[in-house]
Amino acid sequence: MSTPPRETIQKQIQQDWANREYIEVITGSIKKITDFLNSFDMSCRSRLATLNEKLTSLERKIDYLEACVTKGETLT
Amino acid sequence: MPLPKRCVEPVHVSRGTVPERLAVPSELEAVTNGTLANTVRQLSSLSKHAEDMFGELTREATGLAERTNVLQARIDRLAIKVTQLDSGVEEVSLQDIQMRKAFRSSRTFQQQLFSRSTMPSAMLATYARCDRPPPLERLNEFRDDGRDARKFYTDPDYFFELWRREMLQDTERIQHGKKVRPARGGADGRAGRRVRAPHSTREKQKAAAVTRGEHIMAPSQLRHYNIEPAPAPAPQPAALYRADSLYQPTSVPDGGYRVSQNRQSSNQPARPNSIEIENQQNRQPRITGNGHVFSPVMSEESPYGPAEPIYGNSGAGTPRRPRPSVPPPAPPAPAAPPADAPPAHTPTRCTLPPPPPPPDGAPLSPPPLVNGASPPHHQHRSALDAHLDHMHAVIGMMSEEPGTCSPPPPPPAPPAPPAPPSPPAAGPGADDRPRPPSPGALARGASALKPPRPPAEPQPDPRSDLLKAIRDGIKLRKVEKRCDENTGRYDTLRSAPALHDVASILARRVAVELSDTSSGADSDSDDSEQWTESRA
Repeated sequence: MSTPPRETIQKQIQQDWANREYIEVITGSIKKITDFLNSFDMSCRSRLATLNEKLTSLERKIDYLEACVTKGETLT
Repeated sequence: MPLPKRCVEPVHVSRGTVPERLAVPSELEAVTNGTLANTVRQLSSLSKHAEDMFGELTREATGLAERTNVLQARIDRLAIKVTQLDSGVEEVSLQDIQMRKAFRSSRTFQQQLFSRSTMPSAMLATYARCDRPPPLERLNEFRDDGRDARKFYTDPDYFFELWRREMLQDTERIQHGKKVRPARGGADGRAGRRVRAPHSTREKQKAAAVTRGEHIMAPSQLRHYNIEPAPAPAPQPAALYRADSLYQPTSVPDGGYRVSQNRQSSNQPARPNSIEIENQQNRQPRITGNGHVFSPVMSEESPYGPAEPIYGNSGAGTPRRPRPSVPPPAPPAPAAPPADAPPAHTPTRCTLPPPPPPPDGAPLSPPPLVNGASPPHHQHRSALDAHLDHMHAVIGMMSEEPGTCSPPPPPPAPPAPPAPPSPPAAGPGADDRPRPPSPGALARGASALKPPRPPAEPQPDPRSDLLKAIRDGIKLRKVEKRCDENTGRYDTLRSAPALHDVASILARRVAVELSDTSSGADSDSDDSEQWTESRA
């Protein structure tokens, strides 16, 4: 098996490094996207949880107020 | 073990990218192409996860938005309703108030938060890849005890069952303890009752005086003025008084204190009042004098010696005017035991800026001679009343409508309130003395109850009104059906009947504990009730 010329090997290796750099950029971008998605998820969930909490307490207050102003016959 | 919720796959993008079977002209290119392909797979997996995540967030946000809209509508309705409220126009009858049902929140407890149904879909996919448990349920038919054979292998409900059993046993134990307790706290249970600690506002008043800019001398400064601060309080009586109520210091007409050992003959709540009277009495020469005069008798004999330095300080610091920061008596006193002592002290009491409820002006009710006798008498009388009421109701109903098919009396038939329907018996007795002190009065009350009264016509009984209204065809509100609601809600959770879900167990537990404390509060309010009655 004849060995390919030295220039060819160098060229292939250089091309391979270029490809690896390209893949590295892609995978780095994927990591960035993943990080962003995770942080976005956490942030949204914490905000939604805060909102849910406030909403629940508001609902309880409204329950109480409705019971205060409601007469007995319409109390369900 | 931490479980990743979402896993972007493939994890290793470059492994296995060189085909083994067929020869490739350039391995480097093959690796590059395979890595790129795996990267694209990762991207697709990532986009799937992102879609899933956004979907969850959107669902949650949509639910919140719906709830917000509903809440907004409720607030609007409530605003309209509140503007329409007019207390001058509406008439509220006592019937309505009585028949009104208690407020019950319709909010539900969230439970089974970490069940299979609430598992996020990404984790569910991970979970689905696990090996299934062996099909042990096929062995169920060979078991004699009817237990599920798979539960010996894996049982997700194990810990919940453990907790449920423990909670139920705890509740049972509390209930059992509650049943035992009234037997112990009978007529003589009062002796073991915890005595309320004397509520000292001295420090508070002292601080208030300091904030008002007055100067309160320290005991060292008093010594500089040749004023002996009061010696350390005789620790034994005070400590004993706090520990148990055997030692009851009472004031005697000569102005001193004596520590009475006999609890029956001493009036317990008279203590703070006598303290106050005593302090006023002994303070009077100090106030009008030069502020350095002390009555040694007081400081030696009083078991409440700690009360002295502040008076001494106040007398020394501002000798010309009475200190407005006299600690009011902690518990209101029903009566001072000696009948002639309080009128002598009333003028000095008028100088007190925070006037305690003056029990002296009212005619002094005699102290309950037999402490344990009154409540049983009361209970006995009420029980007798209830029995007589029931009998009269039955007799009256039978005699009123013998032929017609009368509707049955209200099924629970709780005994009518015992206090109103006994005017002949409790009328004069209750006005003069709230608690007849002797068993003779009990016999009198019982004998006064003996003659049969006319059956419940004179007093307007709201229950008979209700009965009449039912006959006339009033439309009653329906009984709330909570059980149906509960079973309807929880049947999705593995057919959970009552007491098989967290909310009902906890609610039952809380109810039991609350009733426990409320019974304790009842016994306390019994005390205050005695006070208010005897003070009135």
